[in-house]
Amino acid sequence: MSAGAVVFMLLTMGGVLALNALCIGLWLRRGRRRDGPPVSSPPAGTTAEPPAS
Amino acid sequence: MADLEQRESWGSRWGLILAAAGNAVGIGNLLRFPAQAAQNGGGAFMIPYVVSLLLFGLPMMWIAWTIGRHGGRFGHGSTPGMFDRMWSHPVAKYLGVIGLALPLLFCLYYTYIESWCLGYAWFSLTGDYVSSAGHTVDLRTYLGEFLGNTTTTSYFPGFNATIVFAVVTVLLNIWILYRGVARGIELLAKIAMPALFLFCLVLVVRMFSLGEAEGSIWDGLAFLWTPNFGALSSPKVWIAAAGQIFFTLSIGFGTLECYASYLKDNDDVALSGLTTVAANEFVEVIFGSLIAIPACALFFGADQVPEIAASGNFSIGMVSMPEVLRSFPGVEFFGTIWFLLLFFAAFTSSVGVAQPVIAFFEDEAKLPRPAAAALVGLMWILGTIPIIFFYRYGVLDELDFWAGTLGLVVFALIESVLFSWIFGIKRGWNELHRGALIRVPRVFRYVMQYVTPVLLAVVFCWWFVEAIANDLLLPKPRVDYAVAEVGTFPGRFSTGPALVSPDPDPAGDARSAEQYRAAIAGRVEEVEHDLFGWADGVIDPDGRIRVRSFGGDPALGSVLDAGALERWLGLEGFRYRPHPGEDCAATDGELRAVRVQVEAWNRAPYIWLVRIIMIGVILAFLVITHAVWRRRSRLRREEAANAGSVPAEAEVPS
Repeated sequence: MSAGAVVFMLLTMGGVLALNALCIGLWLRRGRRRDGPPVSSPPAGTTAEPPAS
Repeated sequence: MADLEQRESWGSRWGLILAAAGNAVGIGNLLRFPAQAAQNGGGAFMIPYVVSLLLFGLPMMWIAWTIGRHGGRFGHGSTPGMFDRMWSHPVAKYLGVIGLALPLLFCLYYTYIESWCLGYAWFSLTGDYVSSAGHTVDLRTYLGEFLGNTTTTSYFPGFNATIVFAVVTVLLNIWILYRGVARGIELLAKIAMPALFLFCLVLVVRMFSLGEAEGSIWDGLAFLWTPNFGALSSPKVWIAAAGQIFFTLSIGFGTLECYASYLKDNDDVALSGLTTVAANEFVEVIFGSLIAIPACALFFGADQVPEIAASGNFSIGMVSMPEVLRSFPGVEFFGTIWFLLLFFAAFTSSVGVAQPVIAFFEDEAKLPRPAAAALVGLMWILGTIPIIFFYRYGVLDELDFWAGTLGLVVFALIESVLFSWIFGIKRGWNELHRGALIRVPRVFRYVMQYVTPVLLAVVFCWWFVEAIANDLLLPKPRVDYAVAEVGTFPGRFSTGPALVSPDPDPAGDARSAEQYRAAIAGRVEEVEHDLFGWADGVIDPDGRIRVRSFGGDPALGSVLDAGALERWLGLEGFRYRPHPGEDCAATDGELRAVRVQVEAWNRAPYIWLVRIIMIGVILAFLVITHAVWRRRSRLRREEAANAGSVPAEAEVPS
């Protein structure tokens, strides 16, 4: 296996593992605060559109 | 609001994430990804792959989750209702009908593929494909006969096994859907997804413990990951990467929207969408690249891997992998694990894809869940029957092209435009962040608005033009040949480099292999029915087939005779490869007799039948949607009249 192949394999797999670790970390940290206020809330009235029909 | 309170919801957040990941993780993660990467630049493929993920996969994932939760707030679990809430225009709900027709059509053929995995898990457990009558089983013929794709009957006398596994698979799907979201889909995901991870781990450990055979694991990894930067200048590679992202994340089915509709109003969708992508990529990149291709390199040798990778997903999964697994001890265990892995990957996807249809009948037509499940189950079984019986005419590929490829891009494009330009990116962005546990980088707002729709349009145009260029829209006859009673030969038959010169033969025949096929196909189109022929001959000491006599349909005889068939087989490099220690000639010194069957299938009527079924399904959902909305509008008017006032907007149902 060439060095280039090893680099690409490790970079890609490492990136995927890091993304998964990030998600797990975020769930553990912020998921516990579910009962608290969300990270970002839109101004009141911006999303509650009237029913279309 | 009474209806909203009756809707189901997920039992737990992890259950939802596992179900969404299970929907995304399918057979494509384990078979399609490594084959695509290997054929499109190796390690360098990851550059357009990651770019596509960021510009197209991740934004569409967030759009789907956001649309779903928004629709769920108003009690809609399928896209007709969701779109109707996002766009106050009568046509919106009819656009959403695509999100019902595509999943149903997809399920018709995907569960059939799923049933092959279940069948092969059983055949692995019983050691059925390891050997037959003391001879090694020819796995290509074995698969062809299991699917009824050939007229030979060396291993399977008929369709019985295929039908049994197909019916069992459809019933399993319906049973899960009947049980509901929390007790069915979520419970399945909680069992199947950890099992899938465990099976992957077992197989990876197994592969790396095998040492070396014809090649090594590292040859396969080198083939897969060695970067070829020259490939990046080809638009085909970028389109292939975009296509892989599209398929792997199950975008455009309406499933993620349906799953998200069961969320509570302030539940997160931003981190949930990101986690679904992460889990899917974990299975695809880590396990997808560590199992199939390295295993093939180990057993077949590095030089055979490009051909195997190009042979297609099903060939890798159903022919090459069993070949590898049966060559080492423990095929009953590891073969079963491999096919159960594929089965679970497909099972969690198919129940997810079918759920929007169930939700439509429950939420919009107000059917109780058992009735909705029974109705969908009936349509499912009736629709799968032609797929099974007409598989040999390419009806599965036809459905896959329209419902599983082109239709998804069209639907994703509609969703993308609806979300960013009609619903409005500002409202959409705010909706995405309501209750969010993360803040999505602002750059994605512009990607969702401009880049994703353009990229989807480019992918759609590319695939459509490619289909026209490859004559996919006009069904051509399928021409093939097979050896009868192949199970009685210790060795195997295969194609390879040409065994005869392309120069004219003594009879003056100068046709190429493609021209022989084209001549037979042309004859089928003239007579408009299937043509069959059979040739008796012998295998010469070099393994080449020498045809002695040829018979069959007279219409076939006008384009093919014994000499022409022998030359055609020679041009295709079709030969017998004896088992180690075996001589091509029979033991008594005489050449071994062989019978070759020529099959030419008239595909056109069956392909048009499938197209009519597809149009019929779309029309049926359009009519049902129209009727449901009319009824709803009438009820509203009656309620308003009973209350003593008729609001003006009730006159114009949307």
